[in-house]
Amino acid sequence: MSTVTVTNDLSQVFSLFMGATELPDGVPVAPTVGDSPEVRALVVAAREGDREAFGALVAIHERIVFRTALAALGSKEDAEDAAQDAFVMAWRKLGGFRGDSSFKTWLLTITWRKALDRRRSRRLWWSRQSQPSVWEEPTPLDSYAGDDPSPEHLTMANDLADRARAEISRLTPKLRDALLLAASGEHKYEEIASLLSIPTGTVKWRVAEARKQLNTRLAR
Amino acid sequence: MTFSTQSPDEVDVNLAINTAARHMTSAPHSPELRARVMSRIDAAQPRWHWGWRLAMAGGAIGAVALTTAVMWHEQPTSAPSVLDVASSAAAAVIPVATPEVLTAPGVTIIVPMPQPARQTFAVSAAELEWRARAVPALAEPNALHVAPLEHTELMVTPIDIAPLTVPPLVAMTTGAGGSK
Repeated sequence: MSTVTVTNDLSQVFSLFMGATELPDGVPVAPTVGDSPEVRALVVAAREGDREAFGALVAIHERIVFRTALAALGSKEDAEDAAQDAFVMAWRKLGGFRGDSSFKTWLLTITWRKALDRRRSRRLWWSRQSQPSVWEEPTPLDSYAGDDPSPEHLTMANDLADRARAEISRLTPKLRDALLLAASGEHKYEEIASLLSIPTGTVKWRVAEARKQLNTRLAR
Repeated sequence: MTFSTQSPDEVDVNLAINTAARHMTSAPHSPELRARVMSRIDAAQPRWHWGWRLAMAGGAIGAVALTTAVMWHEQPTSAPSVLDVASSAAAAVIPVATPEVLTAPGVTIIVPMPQPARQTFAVSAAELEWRARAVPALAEPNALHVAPLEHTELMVTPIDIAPLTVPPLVAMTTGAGGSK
């Protein structure tokens, strides 16, 4: 059921940019809480079948969608497939987007479900045997941002980061998902809670518990 | 993030965890991701349109078939009753009522032409001849009067039967086992 009517009238598009929740003819518009006015207008246009508008939405969100899928899968190829599936699903289901959350959160929820489906499938287990995982790649030297940038310290720090990466891979999926989503710097705790369908407090506990376990293992 | 309450080693460990976690989720995506998504959407679009076209074509065929079936069913297929020959002949043409419209002065109302009724029952000469050859209804048969049966008394005369006299048996003089 669509509650949005889009016209090519520039004044209506302008009013959407200005944050209006109702078109001039009184038709309510999905509010898309938390989205920028640009995204809001693109969502409204895409809901009416504007392919170019949806393409713009893909361009805006492709990075975060891919990284969210990568946090669940660890493989670039699988993450890209899951991201594609998520965007295609979003295009099909856009008419049912009610705007209760932001478009970004709605899209990431679809992405997370697609990634989990892929993770659960047996095919992923087999493909992982041959596909390189980004989780197994060595940490690049320039990724460490410590206070002492001497070459010797950088080497030690990256060695520690490699061990940390290996230990993160060994965490339980629940703890690892929460930690990676939080540490990626792309999501707020509330958004992670929405993705994982758990309370925000539980997300914080899982992140803290994951750090605690990693500290214990890395201190040995 | 500040680690003011942590030791230098803990700072290094937390920094290493953050670095590793960020590295695990920061691989660059393919620059063709958007193009692939749009091509998949475009590839799915024609199938969706074809589905609609097929559904609409099927619906149109079904509507035509239904209309044909209804029209076929409504056609008079049985001969009218013989008893209604006179009345049906008189009502061969069904009159169409003309709508009465009250108009205000100066208002012109365009009344559509009355459409003739679809079933007019025009009686052909052949049908009239067929009706003339029809067998009239039979008259009610007369009631049967059957005289009741009367029973007469049976007069049976007694039968006189003479007593049966049987003569005594005579002794046999010859035969086997006889005396010499």
